[in-house]
Amino acid sequence: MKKPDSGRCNNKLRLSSLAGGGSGLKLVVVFFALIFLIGCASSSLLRAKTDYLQAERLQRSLRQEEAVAAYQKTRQEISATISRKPSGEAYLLKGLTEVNLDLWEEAESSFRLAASLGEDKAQAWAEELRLFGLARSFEAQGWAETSVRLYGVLAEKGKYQPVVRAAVGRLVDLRLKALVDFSEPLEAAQKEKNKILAEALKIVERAVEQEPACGYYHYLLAQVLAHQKDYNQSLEEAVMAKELGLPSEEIWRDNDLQVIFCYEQLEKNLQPGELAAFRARYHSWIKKWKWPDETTPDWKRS
Amino acid sequence: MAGKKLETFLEQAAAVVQDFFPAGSPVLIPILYSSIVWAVKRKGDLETEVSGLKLWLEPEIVNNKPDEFILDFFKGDQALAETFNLELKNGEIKSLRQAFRALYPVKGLEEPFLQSLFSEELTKGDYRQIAAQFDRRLRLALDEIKAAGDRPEWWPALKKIGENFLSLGWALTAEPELRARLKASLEKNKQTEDEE
Repeated sequence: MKKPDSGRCNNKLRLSSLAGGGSGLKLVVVFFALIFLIGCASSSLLRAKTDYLQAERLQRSLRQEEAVAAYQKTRQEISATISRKPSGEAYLLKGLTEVNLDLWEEAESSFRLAASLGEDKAQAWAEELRLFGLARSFEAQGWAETSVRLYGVLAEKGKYQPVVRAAVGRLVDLRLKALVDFSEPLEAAQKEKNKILAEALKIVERAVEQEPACGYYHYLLAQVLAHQKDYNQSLEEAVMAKELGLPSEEIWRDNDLQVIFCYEQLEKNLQPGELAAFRARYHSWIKKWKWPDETTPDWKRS
Repeated sequence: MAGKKLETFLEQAAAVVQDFFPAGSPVLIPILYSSIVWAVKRKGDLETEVSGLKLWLEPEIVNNKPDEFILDFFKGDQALAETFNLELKNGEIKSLRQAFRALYPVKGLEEPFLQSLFSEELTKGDYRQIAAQFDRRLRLALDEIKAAGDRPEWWPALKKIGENFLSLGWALTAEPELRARLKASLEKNKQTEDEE
């Protein structure tokens, strides 16, 4: 049986496939190139994510310069990925990296782009960064009350951890600064000083309640309690801060010196009955930290 | 022999870096030291290592310490207690707080950049000079580093110094020893220049 139609049809098919051979090949090439590029973009995104995690690890180990270098590398990688294939996830990672590099304005812009590409939570983060930037500008211009109000809003209602921590830090700094700058005679000033300290304490206690495992908040608490001359509690908070981890080597060392200061004050002020138990507790900590003696931290050279 | 080689290397390195700074600049030791530390760690990049110097220079923590902490800092160190004996005796907390702002990061926190910057005063125990010069010298040092960093040949020159240090096998030299040798080399260079 003759099947002319099917023959024609086959011919047609062959002809069309012959006629379209070049563009078909092109399509295949384009398809594979696309797959390759998507693969490259997602593998470079994956690489950037790995580098970001490595940078976080370095930061936690207080290897500051190396952490900064790792964040910078992550930022370069993620920028290259974005130029090939922009995505909400990539912009989000870029923003997170920029926050760690203290490039908060750039981070705000990255989060806004991430939000416009579907990363909803980034919008709120961008708003918080903007508010913090605004508070810093007010503070720099001497509008202390306005900046305190903005930091207060962020400390209380903020959702993005780095901004909330920075806002709490600034609030406590400003409160303590007011305390230190107080030039009234001691007795007249005492009531006002107590009020300022109570405010500072309330700010940090609320922050600790919200994030109890944040070493930085315990560090701040130790600072405030030292102003109240509650050296026992201040020492406990400083120990807790050291155990939970602190954001920079400078703060880490300052916290160690706070531990020593409290130890020396308690040595002078505790009753003989309390001293033995206190010393035993203190020695167990410094043994754990490998300090050569009660008043020499491991990093001390001179 | 190895010591002699290291000295020659440091002298040469100092001579290279010196070209980027005004005569008598205090930043030579910190800069050379940073480039060598960068090379030893072999991690990150040199610009970060040198730029990282600025990370510690935030005075906020230091400004808000309680009076008792400041008094304890001065009384707890014999040299400081002797230097500021009069202020301690008269309870001049304002003057002590002013000096503390400079001395706590240098001598308390042992911030590496500041310790290099004021190494001469630290060796002599001239703490009043550190307190008096702190802001001015720090600003000058950071300005000078920024100006040098803007020159295109700066980073390659610094990188080469670090790499040469590493290739000569001194990566394990202890930090204080390295700093002391750097200082000696710079002083020797200065002496030679003065004689010429």
